Amino acid sequence: MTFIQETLSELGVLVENVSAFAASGGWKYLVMWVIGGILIYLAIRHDMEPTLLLPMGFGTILVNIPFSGAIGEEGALTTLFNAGIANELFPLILFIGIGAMIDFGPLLTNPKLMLFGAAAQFGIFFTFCLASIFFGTEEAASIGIIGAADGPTAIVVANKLLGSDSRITGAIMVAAYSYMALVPIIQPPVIKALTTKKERLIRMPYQAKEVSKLTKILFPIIITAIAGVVAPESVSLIGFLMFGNLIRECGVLNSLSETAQKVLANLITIFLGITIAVQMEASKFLQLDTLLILGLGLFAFIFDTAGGVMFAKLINLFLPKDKKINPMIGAAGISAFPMSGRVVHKMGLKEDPQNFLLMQSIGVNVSGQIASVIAGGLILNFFM
Amino acid sequence: MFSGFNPMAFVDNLKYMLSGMIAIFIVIGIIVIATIILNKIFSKK
Repeated sequence: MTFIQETLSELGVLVENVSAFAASGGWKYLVMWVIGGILIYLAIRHDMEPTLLLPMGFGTILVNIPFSGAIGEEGALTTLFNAGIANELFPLILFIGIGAMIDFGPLLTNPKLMLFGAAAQFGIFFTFCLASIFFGTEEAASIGIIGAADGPTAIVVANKLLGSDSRITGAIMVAAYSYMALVPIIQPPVIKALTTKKERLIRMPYQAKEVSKLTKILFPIIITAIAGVVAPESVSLIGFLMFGNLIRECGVLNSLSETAQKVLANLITIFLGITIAVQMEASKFLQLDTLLILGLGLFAFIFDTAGGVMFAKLINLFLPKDKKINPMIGAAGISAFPMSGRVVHKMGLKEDPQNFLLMQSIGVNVSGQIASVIAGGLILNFFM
Repeated sequence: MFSGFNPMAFVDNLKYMLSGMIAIFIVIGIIVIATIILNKIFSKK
């Protein structure tokens, strides 16, 4: 008899928990579980930025369990968030790894390619203007930076402008990473719409040039100094990126370079993804704002692509017939390294199997990485 | 947070778009020139 009573009482507690779940807006949690599930699905099934979308998806489920012990004052995820994202430490450390991964060689052989990186930041500023129709200035600027196509920059700028507890930071981070994963789907139709078949067939023979080791060593130092003087707020972003690259190029820190590229970047990525999910609580995420931000983020990527392509077409007006640029490479200035460069290369091959644009598009893509960080610094300088 | 519908804000903020794009081209232009100079000075012969 006592056993039955105890069992019933246990069941009663379970029923109470379930009714508490329903009373506390259970459907919202269910929606967030579905969103978490979709992120995990996209990561596993479609291999879309799995290193970030999978931890983010699982984290979304973790933080959306009612009374979750993972968040709150003593929650592990909140502690990680305060230790690594609220103070921008994780994205900046990740930049060391990214810097160590980047080979600026193709860019150094043809430095003029960097101009395309600058042009492809158009989406950031245009989206900022669009977002300002619906949001306040700082929020609009943080939404615009989704167009940097660079997760760490988006996190740093949004955190600095809005603070880590803003209701829209989560949506900005999700948009930044999701659209990066969707670059192979977003960019091709925009590029095709803005170019003719004849333009897409333009060949750009690559002339390999030797770049001296000293140039490769001085390049990250000089970029940091120039960008830092113009936009002091960008010093931490560009500085960490270039520090990673200096480790790579100096030639005496090979083991550190390898660690930065693999172990450090992987470790931070694991924590970054699952910690970002703290911003994905149902109460913060399920807002009309989120849909609007996701829409504006898509605009940012589209206008970035358009900016790069149109700039290349503009340059072509002034170039002799045999020196024309394939305007598709302008689209690679969107940062999203190295997906965007590969997308352009594949599109070139699809049009003409003998048209190899990889080196040029990767060069532009790398310059997009630098330009997006500078754009982030400029945004901070304007609005802080 | 969503703060209403204010189309004039788009026009008001175009100045930031213009100055942002000009600034980014200037910075990148300086970097391009610096890189060309670096390549000239330290190129392998």
